[in-house]
Amino acid sequence: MGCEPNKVQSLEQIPFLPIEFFKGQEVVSRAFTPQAIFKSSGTTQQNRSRHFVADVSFYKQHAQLLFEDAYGPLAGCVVLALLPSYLEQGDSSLVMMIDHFIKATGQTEEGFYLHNHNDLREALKSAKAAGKKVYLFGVTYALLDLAEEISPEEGEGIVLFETGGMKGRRREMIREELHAILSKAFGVAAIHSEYGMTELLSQAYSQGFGIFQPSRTLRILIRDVNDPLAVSAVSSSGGINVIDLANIDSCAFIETKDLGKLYSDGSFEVLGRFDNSDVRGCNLMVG
Amino acid sequence: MAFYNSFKSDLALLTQENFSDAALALFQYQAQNNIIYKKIPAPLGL
Repeated sequence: MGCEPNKVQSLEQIPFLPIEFFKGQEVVSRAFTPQAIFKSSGTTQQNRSRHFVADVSFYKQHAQLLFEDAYGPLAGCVVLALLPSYLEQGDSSLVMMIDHFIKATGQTEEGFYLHNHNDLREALKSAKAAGKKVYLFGVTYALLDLAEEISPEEGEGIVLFETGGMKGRRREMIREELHAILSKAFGVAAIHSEYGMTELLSQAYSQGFGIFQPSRTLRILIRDVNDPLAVSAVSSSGGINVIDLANIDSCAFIETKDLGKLYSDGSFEVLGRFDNSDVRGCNLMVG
Repeated sequence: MAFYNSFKSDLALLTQENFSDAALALFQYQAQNNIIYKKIPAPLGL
């Protein structure tokens, strides 16, 4: 790209790696034996992205640090997860992260629920009766299935995370419509969300209305949709470039296929995806 | 490995205020190390 690294003096001058490189290439910044290989969701028609992870313990601790930055200590809370497609496909960084969160809570309740909504509702009821703060993470289509069974009284007071993705099981819908359905069904004022993907080891969280706050190791820049080398760190809309400082062993500077809007305080919104990019569903179809 | 180890251990102390300096330092490290791209054979049928 004609970039001379020693002349790079600002974030805007950094060349970003197109995210597609994680599909056909092993993207690493040093030689190591991976402790895990995270893989994106995908169909048999698509190559799944692969992220070679040198230190699984670092990933888990870092994810917990970022979550607790946003929500406070996990200890004493209850984390429930309805992530059937991620569990079925395997090698998911999200599943590893949630599994670690569940362990960090010290909870006695089962954390993962595949399709057994009744058991999940019982766990929810039990945790609420014990006065515990409940975080429920769910893939979008599964939450919509649960929304048809649950009452607002059962969900009231929980923190509900929609992790994105219809996975072809339901029709796509705009974020406002989706969040309105979930808010009404679960009796919650806002739908939370996590911006994360296989290629990143950091996450950002939204506590409602689709606005994500940058985390201590993740920040986004916006690139011109017609000129991928024109990158801006000021308020604008366009393609999302991510700087993830936890990607020490792979690449910390990634050009994603997401479209977004950056606000002056560093918060951002994901508006959708570029045409022809994979439907993977990590918040990204919700625009 | 000196930069690598100290950068990794200092991540938990990072704030948005020193984000840019840390990002530029990591860029220099990754650029000097050359990001390695090893071709992964696609599964049969893809």
